[in-house]
Amino acid sequence: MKIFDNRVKTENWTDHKMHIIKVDFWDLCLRFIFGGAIVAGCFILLRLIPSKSIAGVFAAFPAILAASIIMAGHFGNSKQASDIALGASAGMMACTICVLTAIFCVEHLKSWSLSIIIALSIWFFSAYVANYLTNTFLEKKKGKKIPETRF
Amino acid sequence: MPNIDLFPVFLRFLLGGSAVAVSTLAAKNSGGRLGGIFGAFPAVYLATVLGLSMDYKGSDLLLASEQLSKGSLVGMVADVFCALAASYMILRYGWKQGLVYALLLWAMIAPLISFIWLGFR
Repeated sequence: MKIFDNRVKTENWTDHKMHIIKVDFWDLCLRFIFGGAIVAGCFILLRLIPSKSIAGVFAAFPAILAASIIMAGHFGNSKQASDIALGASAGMMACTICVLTAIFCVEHLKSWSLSIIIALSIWFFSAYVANYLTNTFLEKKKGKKIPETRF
Repeated sequence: MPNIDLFPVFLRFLLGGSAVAVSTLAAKNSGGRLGGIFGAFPAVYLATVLGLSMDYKGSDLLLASEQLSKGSLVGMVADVFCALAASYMILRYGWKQGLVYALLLWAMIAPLISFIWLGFR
């Protein structure tokens, strides 16, 4: 993870590498726990509340964004955390388009697996476009590259 | 209050966690622009919809996933605002306070949009 490297002040290469592995391990653990907790909590909500749209709102809780910000803030600085949040907004626009496609396909195609596949392929193209647009926009405006978005 | 077994909850926890972990690993290993794309994978939403297919079959599944997706759409629109607000608030208040404020903003925007658009149906 290149964005966290400026905090490492060691000259020893193995120490440097161990630090990156440690960051990556905790990053993965935090994401696993947050993602799992959201899906499990959503399932419990589905059982408790008859309205499924409330559980759906809960499923879109930005837990993975929070995990990325916590990792970037803890191992880096606030500037990096802010950049990650800005980059994630492009990914979220692509996710919004993906969900919109899923709703449209489920309503009109009446096939569950087909609509999920179509929604995912639409997601891939819209994520590519959103990524490309934000990169070129930011490079033109500030002369900096947007970090990898993770959501 | 309905009875909730612990095993299905644990199954969903594993499903959601591994979906997020796999998409993170894919993003890290592919690198560059492709890594940025896979980093934005809607893993939690997908895991929730897959979890629905364990509970419902046929037309019930279609109806349930449509309702769930409508709620998810509201949450995702609120997510975009939350992420933009987070990038501004983190610079202003520091990452801990900024994150809390951004999540609070999400918790206010999401019910507002769902109330205006869906009317809590």
